[in-house]
Amino acid sequence: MISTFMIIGKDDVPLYEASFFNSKKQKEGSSHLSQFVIHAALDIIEEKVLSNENFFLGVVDNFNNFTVSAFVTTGMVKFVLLTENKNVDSTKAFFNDVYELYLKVILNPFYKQNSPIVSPYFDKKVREKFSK
Amino acid sequence: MNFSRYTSVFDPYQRITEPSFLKISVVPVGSISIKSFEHFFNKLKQIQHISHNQLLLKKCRANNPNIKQGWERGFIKIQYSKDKAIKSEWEEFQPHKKIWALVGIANSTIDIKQKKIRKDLTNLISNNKKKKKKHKRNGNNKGDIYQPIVRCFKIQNKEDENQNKENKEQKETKNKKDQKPSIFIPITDDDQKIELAIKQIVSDVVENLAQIIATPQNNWKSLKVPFKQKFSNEEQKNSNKSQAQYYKWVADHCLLTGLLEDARTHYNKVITTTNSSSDSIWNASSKESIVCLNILQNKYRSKEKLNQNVIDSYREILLIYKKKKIEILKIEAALKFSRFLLETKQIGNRKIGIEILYDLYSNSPNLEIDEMILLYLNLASLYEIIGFKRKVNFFFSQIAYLFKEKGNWKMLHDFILFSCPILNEINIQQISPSINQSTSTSTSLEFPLSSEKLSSLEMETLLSKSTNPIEFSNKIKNTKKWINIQIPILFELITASSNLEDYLKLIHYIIYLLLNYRSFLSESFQKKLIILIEKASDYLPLTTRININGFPTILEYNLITKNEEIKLNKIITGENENQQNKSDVFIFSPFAYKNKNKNKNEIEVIEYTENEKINLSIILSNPFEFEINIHKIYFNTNSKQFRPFPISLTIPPLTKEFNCLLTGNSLLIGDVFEICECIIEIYNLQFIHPIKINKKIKIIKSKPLLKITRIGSSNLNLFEGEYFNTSLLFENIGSKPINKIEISYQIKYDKEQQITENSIYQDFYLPPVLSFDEKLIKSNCPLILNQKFILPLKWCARKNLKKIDILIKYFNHSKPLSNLQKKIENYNNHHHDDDDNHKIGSVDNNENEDENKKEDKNENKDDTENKNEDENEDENENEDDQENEDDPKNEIAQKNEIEDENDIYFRISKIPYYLNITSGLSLMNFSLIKPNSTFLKDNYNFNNELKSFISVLELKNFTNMKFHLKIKILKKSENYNEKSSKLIKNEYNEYNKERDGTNNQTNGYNFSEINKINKNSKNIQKLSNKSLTKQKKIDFQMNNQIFQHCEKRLIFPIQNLLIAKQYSSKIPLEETIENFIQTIHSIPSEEQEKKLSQLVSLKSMLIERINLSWESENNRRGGIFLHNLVIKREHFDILTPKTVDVQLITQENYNVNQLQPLEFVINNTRKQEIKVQFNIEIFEKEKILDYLPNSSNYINSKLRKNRKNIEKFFQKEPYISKNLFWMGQTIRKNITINMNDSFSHTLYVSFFEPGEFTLRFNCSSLKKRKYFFISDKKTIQVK
Repeated sequence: MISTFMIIGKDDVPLYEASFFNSKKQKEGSSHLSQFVIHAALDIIEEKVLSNENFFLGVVDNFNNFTVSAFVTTGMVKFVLLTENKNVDSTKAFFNDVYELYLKVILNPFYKQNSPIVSPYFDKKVREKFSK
Repeated sequence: MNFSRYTSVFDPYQRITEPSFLKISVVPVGSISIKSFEHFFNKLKQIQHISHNQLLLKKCRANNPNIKQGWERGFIKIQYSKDKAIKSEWEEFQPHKKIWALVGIANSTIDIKQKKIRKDLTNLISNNKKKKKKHKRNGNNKGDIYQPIVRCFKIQNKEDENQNKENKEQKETKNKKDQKPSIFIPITDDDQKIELAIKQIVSDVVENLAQIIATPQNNWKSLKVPFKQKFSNEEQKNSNKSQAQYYKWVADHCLLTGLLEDARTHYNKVITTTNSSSDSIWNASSKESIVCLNILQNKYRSKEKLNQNVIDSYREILLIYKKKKIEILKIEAALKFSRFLLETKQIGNRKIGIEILYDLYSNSPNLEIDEMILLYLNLASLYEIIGFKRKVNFFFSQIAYLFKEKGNWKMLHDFILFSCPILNEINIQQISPSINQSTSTSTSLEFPLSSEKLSSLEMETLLSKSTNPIEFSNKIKNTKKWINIQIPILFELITASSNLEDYLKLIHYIIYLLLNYRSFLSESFQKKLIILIEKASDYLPLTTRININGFPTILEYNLITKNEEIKLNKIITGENENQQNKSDVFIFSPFAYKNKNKNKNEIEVIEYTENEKINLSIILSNPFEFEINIHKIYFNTNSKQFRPFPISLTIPPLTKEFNCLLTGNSLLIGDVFEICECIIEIYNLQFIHPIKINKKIKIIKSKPLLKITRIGSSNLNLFEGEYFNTSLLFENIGSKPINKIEISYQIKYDKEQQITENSIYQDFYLPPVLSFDEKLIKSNCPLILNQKFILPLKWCARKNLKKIDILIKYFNHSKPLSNLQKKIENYNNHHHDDDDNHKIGSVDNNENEDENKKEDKNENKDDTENKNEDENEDENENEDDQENEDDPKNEIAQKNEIEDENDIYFRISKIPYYLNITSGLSLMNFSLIKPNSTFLKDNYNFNNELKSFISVLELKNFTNMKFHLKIKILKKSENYNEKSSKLIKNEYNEYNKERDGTNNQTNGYNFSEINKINKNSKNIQKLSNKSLTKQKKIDFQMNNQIFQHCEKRLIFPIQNLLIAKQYSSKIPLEETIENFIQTIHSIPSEEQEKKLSQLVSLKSMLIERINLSWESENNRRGGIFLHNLVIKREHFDILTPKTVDVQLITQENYNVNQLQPLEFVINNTRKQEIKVQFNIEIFEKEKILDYLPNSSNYINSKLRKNRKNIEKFFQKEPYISKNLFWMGQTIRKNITINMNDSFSHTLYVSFFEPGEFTLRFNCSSLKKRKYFFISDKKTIQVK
């Protein structure tokens, strides 16, 4: 199973991308499709944000047994997770954890808004949180 | 259980009100043109509603009491389609899917047999004859009720109408006999007749429908539905299910015939009966129809939210279908309901619609590939309604991948282009989906988006903004952006075009991939792609043109005109800026906005002579990691006569700028064209790069054309007073010789100089700012073809100099007419006035522009360029004259004169030089002072001997360089008359003779060295070589030619009045003031003394200016001028100890007429003997009365004047001379006085009259060039 997590900033600029593979074989495959599904889900996320007060939007889209969950910050930065796991609670917990990490990133005075997150610490922590 | 296999038609285009439409299929029959078919089809389409009253129903009203209610109000809705009717298995469950009438449209001219037509048309209803089963109903004697009504419209002209009437009547009678209605309905282009015909057909259909509705349940048999096996007759009759099915059957047909209330009652019956049973599909289908009825009866406004009951019931329906796993029904229901919701444009409805769509694809439906494609197409079209661009693209890409599975590369290619519209910019050809394209494939697809819609979509918004390749050019670590989407898509395009054997597209896509995503591709992969291009190009015809920018990228281009500074044109100009930015992100233009403001109408015309090469400089770049081998590169113009000279190049990998010069020429005189494109041929492909230069090129008749090349920079950074040499290369590149070249220059100063006496004086005496050899120019004229010569220019940097324009006029005639010459001058004046507006750094002033300015004005007048190039210029000149000369008569006269001289013309080239003068070393003060104050006596005469003096220089060094210093004292030349120059010459001759005699080859008085030289005269040359620098040697040579330059610039030996030690020493750095003091310690020998005295005497007369020359460590040379140096006697009152003493010894009283002595004493304190002469002068009251003449040849000019006065005086009053006094013994010549000896002479004088007299005794050396003159003066009283 392949899971992809992306942070997408203003103007659909991807700020961060992490793919989580269970096996090496998966690595060769469909990162293309997963990104495309996430990209297509942005339309629905933008629609749902308007009618949802919470950061966490839940499952927003679905394609071929993959669910797309989203979490939108007040700055309209979108956290999107594409996974087969349909456990909403664990997804919500993951988003909350990443949000805390993200806050730390944007508090960094050297971080430029809407620029890619290249911090290795952030990457490491996100992967740790996902494995939980 | 997979129900989808039952279906052969998946109808995703249904609308929610679809069950109420009667479907009529219209097809062309025979060889009817598409245009006339479309024309009649559109006419049919206008007839959408037919009310029941209009129908010619006969039997059904009588036979069917059930449907009598509502019959008066209802109406039939008709849906026309051009589709070929395909037999569907769902027709009995969903009667609205059935085609109830098949209408053919045929041309009247073709005689078609009825049977054949009937057969053909009925075949159209089902493609599969074998599967077709005829259902004969009990109680239905008319045969198969499922058989649609088949009619054929035969188009007729109005004229034919009358003729056909008779035939028609005959046919009708025949048909009546046969009891078979004719399928041919003759129609004309008359709306009413068409309507009537349609009404007839619909009447027939409704008659059939009414019979179905009226069928009693007893006679009814179970339906053939794909999801259910047939019941046996017994079971059917008794079961509730069978009853429900019957009600639904009736209800469906009621709905079709517009009997809405009847339909509702029947549907309600179905629901009530099926609620209890497990027959949920029939229940759901009925509910679906009730929703349709609700919507039909309550027309919802576009912004009104749908009733919650309707939504809930529909959700329930979808749930039922989902539970029963009937995908077809579920998808169709979901699609038509969501379409209805999304089209209402109400936010609440839209939200529900999105949810329904989301359910539709969330769990991958178990459909076949074709059905999936249809589903995705519909999903894309629905998302397109609400503007979900990203979703649309996603589904398009999914469709593309489905086509890939089917091996349909064409559709893969097309759909990928739809999914990533930015790729359409590659612009190979217009690819738009059309019905023809889709029907040509195995599936019968109709693209949900019209091509119009597609083209109206904006490129940026259709995909996400981040897919814009501009953002990909910034490669950022750890983030790949959306390239995971885009690169695979491009790969798919490449594989598709490769499978389609469309190599042109293949090449385009590869280049696009390379250009935009090269930073994400490995070096080896890039090379592989290049090999792929190379291979693909083999399949293309020779030199296939490809309109793609950036391979390789042309950064800048520039038309190089004669003598012009390089002025680069950026590629993007004006309006095209935005477009170009889109198409090629790698061209950046910081000047784009600047160019926008420029007036585009101003197009320069540049003249080239026939056969002259037109040069275009181009800067290419190769951003790739492989080298680009350009087979040919050349530029093209819009002229047919243009002949480019292609060159081949290899651009190394990762080259930011690669300069190349392209050339070409035109053979047609009078041809005016523009450079339009640059063509680069790589791998058998022509890459076209459009080029826009706001300059037109005009080919003119050959002229003598002087090419002037500046050797060295146009910007001269000099120190004040520095000498600098540059040169100009003159070359005749025209076709005729140049007979005369005139060079002048114009100086521009930094600030407006105030004209003062000093400045005039300064300019007058300073060396010229620019000097060149005019003889060299004259000697090279006439300048024949391809001949060249170099003219050296000597610059002398002066303060405040800013710019010098060298104007070079050249003529084909050695003696231009006088008025022409005048015109040239006028032209120059005009020309100069213009130039004053230019600032430093502007490089606009060149030959071409000047000419172009002129010729732009006259372009319209140029009817015969070949003949009268010169005349045009003459006209121009006249134009210029108008400003200066107001007399029209003059003008005409001049014009006539010029016309006689057809071939006389001139050209002016202007070569600007920009001077940046900085202060280097400047002289603060210069003076000669006396070494010992004891000699400072007023009564010391300048003409006396010179022994020593001190020169003091006060210098300032403004730079951080070190200088060597040398002093020259120069003569003021111009003011000297012939006499003085002769004098100088004589003096010099003498001096040189003496110098030769003493074997003193040093040209200066470097005393310390002279001493050495005297000791060992043979080593002089060696010594001088050692001690003197290179520059000094040059001075030696100059001394030999000193007389040639005597009148202009006389260099005296005193020039090397240098400080021996400090000559080569350096002026310390950053010292503001440095004193150089020259002291002469040793007493010169007599010989030296003589020369010194001579020199000083000369100096007093001639020296006006002192020049200090300096040399820096990096061999830069220059000079400092002591301007306006007025040397007064006091300055040079350099005194020496008195070596010869004179005394006049007189008595205390003198008496009249009595001889009394008067004694002279000359003391020689010198170390050598002297030869002297003396005389005596007697004055009375300042008037000289007489003097004692001596025998010397030398007579002081002043005395000589006095002598004349005396003679005049004597002539007037002769008694005085005789009676005043008498001198006893007179003069003695050639008196030799030994060393340390004295000579005395007594003169006896008698005075004739009493009075007060002044006596002066003068003593001078005997030599012509006397070097001392001493006198003594006393006053005596005579009683």
